[in-house]
Amino acid sequence: MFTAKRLFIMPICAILLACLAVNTAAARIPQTGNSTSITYTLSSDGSWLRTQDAYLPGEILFQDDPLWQPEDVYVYGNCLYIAAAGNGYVVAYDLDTRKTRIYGEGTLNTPTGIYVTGRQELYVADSGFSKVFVFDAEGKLLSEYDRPDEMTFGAQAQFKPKKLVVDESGVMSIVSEGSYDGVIQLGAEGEFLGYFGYNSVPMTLLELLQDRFFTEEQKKQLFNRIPLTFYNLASDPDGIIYTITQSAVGNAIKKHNISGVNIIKHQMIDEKNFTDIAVGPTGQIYAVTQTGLIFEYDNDGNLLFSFGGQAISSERSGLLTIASGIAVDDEYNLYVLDKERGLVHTYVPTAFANLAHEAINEYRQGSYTSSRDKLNMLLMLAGNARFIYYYLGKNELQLRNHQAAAVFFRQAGDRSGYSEAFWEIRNDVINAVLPWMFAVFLATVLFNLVRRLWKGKQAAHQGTRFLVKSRILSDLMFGFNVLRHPIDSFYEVKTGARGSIWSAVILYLLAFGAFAFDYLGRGFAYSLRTTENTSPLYVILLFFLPVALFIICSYMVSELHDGKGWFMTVFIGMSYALVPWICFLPAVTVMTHVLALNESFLITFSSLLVYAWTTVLVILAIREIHEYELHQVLGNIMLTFFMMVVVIFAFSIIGMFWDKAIEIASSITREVKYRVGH
Amino acid sequence: MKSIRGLADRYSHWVLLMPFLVFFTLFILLPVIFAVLLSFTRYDSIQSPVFVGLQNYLDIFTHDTVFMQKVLPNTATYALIVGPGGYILSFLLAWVIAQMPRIPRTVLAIVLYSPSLLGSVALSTIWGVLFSGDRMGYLNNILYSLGLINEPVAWLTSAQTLLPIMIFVGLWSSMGVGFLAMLAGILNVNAELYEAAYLDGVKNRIQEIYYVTIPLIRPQMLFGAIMALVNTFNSPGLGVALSGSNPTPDYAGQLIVNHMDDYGFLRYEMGYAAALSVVLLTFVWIMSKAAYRMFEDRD
Repeated sequence: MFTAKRLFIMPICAILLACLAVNTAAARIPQTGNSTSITYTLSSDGSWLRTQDAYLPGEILFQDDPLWQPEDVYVYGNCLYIAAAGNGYVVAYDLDTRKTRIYGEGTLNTPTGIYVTGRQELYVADSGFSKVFVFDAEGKLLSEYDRPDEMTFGAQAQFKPKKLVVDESGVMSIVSEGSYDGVIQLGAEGEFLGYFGYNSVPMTLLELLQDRFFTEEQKKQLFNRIPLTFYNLASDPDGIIYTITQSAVGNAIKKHNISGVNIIKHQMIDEKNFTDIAVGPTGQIYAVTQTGLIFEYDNDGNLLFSFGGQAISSERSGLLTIASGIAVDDEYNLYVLDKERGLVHTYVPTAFANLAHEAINEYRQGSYTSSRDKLNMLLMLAGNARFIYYYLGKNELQLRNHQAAAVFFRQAGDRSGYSEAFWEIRNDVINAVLPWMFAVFLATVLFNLVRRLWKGKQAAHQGTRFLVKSRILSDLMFGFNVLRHPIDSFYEVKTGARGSIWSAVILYLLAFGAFAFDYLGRGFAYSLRTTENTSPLYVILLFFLPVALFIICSYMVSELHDGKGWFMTVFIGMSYALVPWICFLPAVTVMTHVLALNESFLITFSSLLVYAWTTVLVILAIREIHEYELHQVLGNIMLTFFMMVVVIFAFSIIGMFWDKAIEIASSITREVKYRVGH
Repeated sequence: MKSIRGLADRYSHWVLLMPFLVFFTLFILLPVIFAVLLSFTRYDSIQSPVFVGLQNYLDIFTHDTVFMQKVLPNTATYALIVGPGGYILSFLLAWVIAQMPRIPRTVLAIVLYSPSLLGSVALSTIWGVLFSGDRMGYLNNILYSLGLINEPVAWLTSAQTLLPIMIFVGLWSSMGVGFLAMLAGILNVNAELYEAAYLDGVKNRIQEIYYVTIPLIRPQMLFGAIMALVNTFNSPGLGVALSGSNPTPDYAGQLIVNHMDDYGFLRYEMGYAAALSVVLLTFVWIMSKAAYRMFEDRD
């Protein structure tokens, strides 16, 4: 029924969107023809997915009269400000009247960053003069700010302002070239307020140790470890500052709170060579790479779209040679600077992109139903896009449709969202079942009471012992004995009274089953692995390789260190040591289906218990089978691990040699064939 | 005359039991009964209680999301680590101390015992300095000088760190009465038994503990286990004292007792708080049953 409805809605949507597209395009920037690049988004499994065009290339500005090395672009109202660094002035381009106006000619040297405040004051960061200039709307120079001379600025610190933003009270946040300490903040009078934000230096363990123990002279001989510097910055209407750092993959974009801490905590999908960042009217983050790729993120840094690219041998609208700046106006039109050619490329959002913006914005404002409808429409247009599922899940969660929310979060690969929805579903189930549980509990209590009154105290319950005839079954049942009396049991294994090769093989297979079930069958809140995305051979190797290696190496080490056990007894003993693993790990795995993430402690605790128990049994098994003292056992285990590493190493070397040998042999045969043929 | 004498003979034990019975009834039995009765009512301590049946219990398990999402997992985490952990710790420390000569033993016993005597307020002042959220807090300062952090961590008011710190402090102060009892028990074990055990083939101290010490101090171990249980479930507001607020930030350190406090004395929903206390009582009761099963004398 649902699909039929979809089929019916599809064409209507398409027509509707087409009309919308024409309407918006007429607004400010005329849109020219088709897209020259493909728009990508993230699919639900995290791979790139080709989707509808989000932005179409619009008119190219300054085509007749290109600028020289423009460095920064800023939109204020209907006016486009461009820092033309090569020309040495700032150009203001009126998008309605198409007139240009020039600021600071003769005053400025190389303007590289600009910002326009609400009072229409133009702030210019001039890296040639190392100063910040302020002009009023008429182009009159209001003030200029030099390097701050406060002590706290640092005696060695350079002041070479490259980019800047200014807040309502006139506080300037300046990215200065080669300033490792963060963004420089100057007050309205040019006084130094402090550094804002930071990039940290990731240190390896070796470097930490060097820091501790090296003398000053030794440290001087090491490479200087300095943090990455901020490359560019932007601010949104609320005054939140966003920065980009080149080469910081995963968190190239930072959204700073008032104390400078990055509030985007997750790893972002980003690029190494971002050059500029801009913030859309409702908080979307836009970033452009030097090679002209444009990324759009939502307010929390989740990727929405990625499009654009480099014009390699030809000039095409929408493709850039070297991008140096990006700006966005309040209709989501993008303006991107091409530094090499001195042009401004414009991009006009399609109805598809506008729909996405509206849907996300409505979610943020709390119109969940209408946001959900828009997202459903988007889903038909875009397909398997992760962000749509993510926001659908969030909407459904707010609308208390927990089942639907769980499904959507699952598709978006969002474990915490899923866990939240799952908790609610489970709560509903508990609510439904609780009265019955209560009733059953009361009934049993009453029943027991009545029975006790009726019959008086009965004789203690006699445990019934099953007499198991089959040897292999009794060997398997002996596993339970290992749980209760491990030392005695391993002694019996050692004397050969219990256990056989077949019971051991069955136990190993059961242990593998438990492992595979745990590895692949965990609840979605606890694991993203499924049978679909994991190769069975990998799982088999992951279990049997270490286990087999451990048993063989342990036996070999014990042979050298007067161990008393045979290989067979070691093999059987180890299989019994895995009994807690076989018995309790599946229970933990089942628990992951019942517990939400806020109860994850119980999972970690119980799996820790299982692992610890198994480890203790392994230690006891080695001890009993070889008649070792504790320190000998520990020595045996250490040596076993060492030997495992050596074996793995040796095998990988042999493997590499083998590859090379085959390669040489095949190239020789090819050579011979070639010679013979000629 | 004779009949009176016979009567006195038959019922005199009641007379002798009287003082205990009176005080037990007055101070323990009656409050528990009243709490259970109160838990079936809605009571705000101003108007008289209104009977609502099982509504409070239903609310706890079906509507109180804070209880199910935060309080219960927190209590489970805290109790599972601090209960057994503190218990094992106090046994091991009691054993180690018991090996020492008299004077250092006494001094160390007092030192180890004193944290459990301090109230939570004293605890929070001591640990508050260490875990202070500004740059001057000891831990922050040390991490700074090692270059591990860039800005101070608000240890006690951040939802991520409060519970681990509570567990740490809980473990630190877990050497209570149970610890003293076990110490006394270990000291009371007859030294000749160890010698006999060595003659029978005990080879090291671990076997000595396992085969001689533990079986002999089983009653003290049981007492220690019960005390550890009751203490962990009832630990009076460690999280509240450390973070300085009830409810604790984001309910990160909220245990059942804090939740009771919150409802009983901040919101004045006495009936609901009483129901919570009955739930807590049930937990403790089940747990101590389990402890009895583990340590009871089977011989």
